[in-house]
Amino acid sequence: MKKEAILEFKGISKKFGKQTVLSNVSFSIYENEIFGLLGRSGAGKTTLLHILLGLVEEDKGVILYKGRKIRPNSFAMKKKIGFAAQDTSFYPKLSVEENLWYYGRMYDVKRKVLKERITRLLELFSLQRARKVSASKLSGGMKRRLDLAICLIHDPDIIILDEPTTGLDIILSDQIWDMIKRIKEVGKTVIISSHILHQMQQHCTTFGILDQGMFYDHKGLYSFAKKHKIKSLERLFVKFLQ
Amino acid sequence: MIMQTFLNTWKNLKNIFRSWVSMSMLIIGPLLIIAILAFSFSSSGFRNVKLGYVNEAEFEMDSLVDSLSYMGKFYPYTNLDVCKDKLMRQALHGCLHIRSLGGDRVGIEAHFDNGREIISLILLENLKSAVIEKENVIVESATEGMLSQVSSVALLMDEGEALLYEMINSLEVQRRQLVDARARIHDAETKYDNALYDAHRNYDSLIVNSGEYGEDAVDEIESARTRVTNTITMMHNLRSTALYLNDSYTADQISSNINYLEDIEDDLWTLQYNVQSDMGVYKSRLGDVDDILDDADDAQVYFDDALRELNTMIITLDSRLVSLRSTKDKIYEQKNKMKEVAGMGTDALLHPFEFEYKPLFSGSKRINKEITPAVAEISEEKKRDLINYGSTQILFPLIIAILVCFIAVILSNIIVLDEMHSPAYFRGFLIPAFRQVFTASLFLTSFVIMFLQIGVLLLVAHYSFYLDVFENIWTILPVVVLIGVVFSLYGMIIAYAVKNKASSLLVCTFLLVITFILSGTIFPIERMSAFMSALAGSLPFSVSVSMLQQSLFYGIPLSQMGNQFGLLLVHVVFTAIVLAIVRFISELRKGRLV
Repeated sequence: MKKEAILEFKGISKKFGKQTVLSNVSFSIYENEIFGLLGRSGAGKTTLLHILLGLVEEDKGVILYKGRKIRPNSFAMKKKIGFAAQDTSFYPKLSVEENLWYYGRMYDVKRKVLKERITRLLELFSLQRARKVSASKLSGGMKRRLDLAICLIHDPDIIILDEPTTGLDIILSDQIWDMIKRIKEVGKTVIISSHILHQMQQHCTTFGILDQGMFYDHKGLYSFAKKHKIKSLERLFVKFLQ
Repeated sequence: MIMQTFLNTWKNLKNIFRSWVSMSMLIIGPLLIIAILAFSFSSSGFRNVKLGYVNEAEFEMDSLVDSLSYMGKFYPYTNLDVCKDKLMRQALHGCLHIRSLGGDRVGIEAHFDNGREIISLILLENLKSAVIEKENVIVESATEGMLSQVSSVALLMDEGEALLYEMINSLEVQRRQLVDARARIHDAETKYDNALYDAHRNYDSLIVNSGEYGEDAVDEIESARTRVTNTITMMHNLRSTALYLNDSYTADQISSNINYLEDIEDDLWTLQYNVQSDMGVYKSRLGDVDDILDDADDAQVYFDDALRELNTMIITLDSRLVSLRSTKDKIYEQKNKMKEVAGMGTDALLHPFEFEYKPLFSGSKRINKEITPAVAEISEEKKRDLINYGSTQILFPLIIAILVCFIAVILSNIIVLDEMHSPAYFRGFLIPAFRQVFTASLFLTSFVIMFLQIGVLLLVAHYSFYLDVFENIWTILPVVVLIGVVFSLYGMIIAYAVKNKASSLLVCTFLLVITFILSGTIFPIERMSAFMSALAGSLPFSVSVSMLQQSLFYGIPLSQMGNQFGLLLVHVVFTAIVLAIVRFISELRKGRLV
């Protein structure tokens, strides 16, 4: 059965001044997959993600959500998307539970539902014992987990993770990837931008590369890898960009 | 170690000078403050000062008003309470109650709002100077008047002296004339008496002689004698005839008659002689009488002359008398004036005004109620404390406004900056909520904290400093809330415009410094230039201080401060619009707004 595209980018272009950051970018992301967005620094990955999050407006093109044209900054779309960046984004002086409760209510989640969801997320991210602890007192790994929990508090369909493991040690990185897999397991679609290619190769179900504003999807990349007999994503990335 | 210290200092200076906001605040800021000060106080004099006066003494105000016209406008009132009511509402800067202290002394009670102490004291100082100046003018004028009177008296005395000299000379001349006239009258009188005596004597003689003789008698005697002679002649003829006729008897008879007639003729001759002789004497006497009459005529002339001279002298004396009476009246008038001046007394002469300061606010109602003797006895110490509180209370509207401004600006600025620098700030853009929700919540956050602090401040003012806070709470609260809102919005605007915490606080401090400079608390608004005075007078800080003063000191309700309240509302709306614009620009600049 053919998977239904949850997101479709069609001809997205964006310029900052005279600099073209995105040029006619078109690709699709399917439900319940982990999509890896690759590209060197300044390739436009964050801009593309910000367009999807409604933080930056595209100059041209449309985004379709489940086949329908959407405005990414609409409230309805914001409720469909969860986001976690390399830097955690929550209130350090609030406790873990207070942060979850605050964001849950801000996303207009009903109190009863929210209470259950907080319990479930705390279990999912192993934060039960820290629920009353001030967020500023959490360890680095727990902060990342709390950030992911907040990202899921409104039960979004799409999770966007921008460099989720950058700067983390290998153990914490594994924990985060473990969490991402769990997120996928609960039926979410995950979009990840990262430089850590071996992790991407290991965990992403599909991916694409942004370079000089152009997008190259996994089909083209597979053909390229096959043609050049490249098995490692890292090698493919280097060779492709060369 | 020294090298490291210098290196760090160098690095710090670089950091500071590479922030344009810090640079602006550190370099342009002080220059701007100096420029504002220079612009504010570029012209001397007063702006929008209004003074009322109640002139019960019917004192001539024009010159005083003229001399104080540089300060502001003067408005006459018939009732002191109405004037003081305007003063309480800050529609006036002072009320002069001018009343008579008896005589020419005037009492000036200067009622002033000690809540607006600085401008009041400056105005009072100017007023006092003007009154002293006026006093000097009056003293000078009185002295000039006195000198003029003295000069008039001296002139009068000169005139009197001249008049007296003239009078003396005139009287001496007249005396001499009178003496002459008296001598002449005396001569005339003697002559007249002699003439009268002679006249009487001659008259008597004439009377005597005129009874026996007369001119007619002489003629008649002569006629009779002639007839007798004729008869004798005829008798001779008859005797001749008789002798011719030889009638000797008849002749003899005739001769005898002739002899008789000749005797008669002789007698008539004698009589005629005697009468003629007597007539000579009579004529001589008539000549004497004529002489006497001439003398009498001369005496009459003397008398007429003397009478004329006397009339002239009377006219001269009458004229002198008129002059003397006029001089007497003038002396009387001057004497009264001198008496009047002498009756004024030295104090009234040197100090025609009694100037008295009357501060409007003498402590809150609660303090006055406590220290009134009718209320339960309180110790002297407590009473003294309460009176001291009364003088401290004057500062409270200003203290409340300052604290609210400080808290509002700094707190809202810090809260917004904390939020903007919070790691969670970014996530706020992902939440399905309007950006205004976050701005409003930030405002509410700072407002709640500020409100708590205001509450504590008002409680302290009420319970510890005996201010009438609860009595006027429905005026104080809206004013404090509005000023808090305006300054909270200021703090938020600065935070959105200047995101660096240190620079933002620097801008807040700069704003507060400018606010205080233009608030009238340090430099009176009324002394600023026309434009700056109008600007400063409509700034929220000065408006709120004015409203708090009216409310806390005099219990004036909010309904009677509609204009000022409206102005605060306008500030709130205007500042809110500016905040919305600045926030929009700030987020647009960050590229986080679609």
